[in-house]
Amino acid sequence: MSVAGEQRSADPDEVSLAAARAGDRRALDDLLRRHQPRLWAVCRRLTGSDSDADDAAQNALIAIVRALPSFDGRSRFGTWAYRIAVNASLDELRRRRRRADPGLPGDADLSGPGAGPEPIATTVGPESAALTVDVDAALRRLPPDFRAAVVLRDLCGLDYAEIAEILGVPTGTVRSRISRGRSALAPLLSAGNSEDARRRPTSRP
Amino acid sequence: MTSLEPPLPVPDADSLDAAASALVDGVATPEEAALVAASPGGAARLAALRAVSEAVGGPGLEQDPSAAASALAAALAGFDPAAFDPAAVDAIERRNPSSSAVGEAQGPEGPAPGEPSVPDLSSDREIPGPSDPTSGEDVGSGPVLTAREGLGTVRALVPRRGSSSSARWLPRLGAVAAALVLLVGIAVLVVDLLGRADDTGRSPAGDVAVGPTSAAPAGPGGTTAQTAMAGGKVLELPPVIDGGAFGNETAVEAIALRAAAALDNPPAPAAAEIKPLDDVQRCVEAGPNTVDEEVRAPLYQAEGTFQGIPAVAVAYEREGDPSRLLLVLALNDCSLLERSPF
Repeated sequence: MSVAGEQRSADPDEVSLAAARAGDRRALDDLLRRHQPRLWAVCRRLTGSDSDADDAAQNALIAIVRALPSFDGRSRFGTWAYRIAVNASLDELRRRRRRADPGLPGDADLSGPGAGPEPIATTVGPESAALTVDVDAALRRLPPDFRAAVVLRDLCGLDYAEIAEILGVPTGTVRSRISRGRSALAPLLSAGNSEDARRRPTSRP
Repeated sequence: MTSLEPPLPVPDADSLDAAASALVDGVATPEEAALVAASPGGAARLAALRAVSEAVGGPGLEQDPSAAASALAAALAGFDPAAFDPAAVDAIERRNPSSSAVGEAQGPEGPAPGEPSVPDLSSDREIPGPSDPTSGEDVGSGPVLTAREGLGTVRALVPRRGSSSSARWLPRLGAVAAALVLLVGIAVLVVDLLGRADDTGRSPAGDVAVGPTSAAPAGPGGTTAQTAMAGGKVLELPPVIDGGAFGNETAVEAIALRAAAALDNPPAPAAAEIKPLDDVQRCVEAGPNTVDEEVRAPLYQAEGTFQGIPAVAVAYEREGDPSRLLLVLALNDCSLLERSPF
């Protein structure tokens, strides 16, 4: 067998998929468990709230299982699953818009201290200093097209071609959305860091 | 795509930011790397965009374990091994020989996952089936509708897994022969029906298991007659109005308004033309499977971009008030993007 063939044979997703297709429920369970955390994280970043992410991720998992018999293997399972998760998240955003609940994080004001969801502890900067920045609040200000591209790249580590496949746009568009999305986020996250730094007690008098 | 939050003005493409972003992703060209290196603020910009990337991809995102467990259980509850089509599994395993860990003897090695795969044996494309919101392929274990490029549609039997080559093709030949007989019969019935049709042009579509595959798309603004079998008779369904392109919309209501206008003032019927199955029609067929409620005949279809996603908008008849349902489906996999009764 070729090296490429060996590499493909070692792909745990392929093995799990084949077993699941043969009726192995445990294999499907393994497959979903392997991807569930990252799928939820994508939903979390796109929807901006834990509860919406829970709903979106569950809908995505259900859709994955339901559509698995028709998965044709032309894309990686992970890419296909991400696409479903992105669509589920966007559906959830639309439902949230219809609900128009003022208590939901969509109404958060970036500049208001304490507004919006709980900040997420995130490591930022070359010094790896633990700074608390409200990434969610910043992402929510980004148009969803741009948000999805940035999240799929920076959270999931997908390459431009995979993101293009998921979002149904050319790779050039993905590159542009990521670049412009990051450019838009930079001042927001930078301001968040500054604000956070001002609020944090200093160690020196 | 929409959200509640106020839109952030996204800056126009900036060559320095584009180059710095490409550097962050490791895909910068030598020219872009040189641009960042030569620009006075290049290093700072690179650091800023890298910080954004790290912030978005940073740790801290963990689902509540009980919510994760319940989501997994809900998903697994829908697992139905019988739903897997052996022929589709065969095809996938031929493309991905690695799945031989569980499968049977494999064919020649196909492209790696993620690469475009070469259609195998024929150029058959499966038509979307029930419970398939994402890929538009039939999930049933029975006969599969297949569309041979450029030759219209035929109904073929699915070869069973592990069957020999002749065993695979004999049922197909039989099915093709049966389909030809069926088509001749349908043609006779259509001629007979047209001779007796009244001037209303509408039939009780609500009693019909809608088969929109028989709808032949017309040009933008045109309509296309469609037929369906019901109780052994060929019934004439409301013509599908092809709304052409709906441009780049972000609100489903705008598309619904456009559909309503077209349906309330239908254009003159265009001459039906035989057109191979395309992505739009695939989604027209898949649409009813993406929603819980039962819909009837498709009435209107249009193509465009919805919230940045290439999409198909299809209006169907439905029970209740309002009497129409607009579905906006992703063109690439016919998954549901938005719905709006109108």
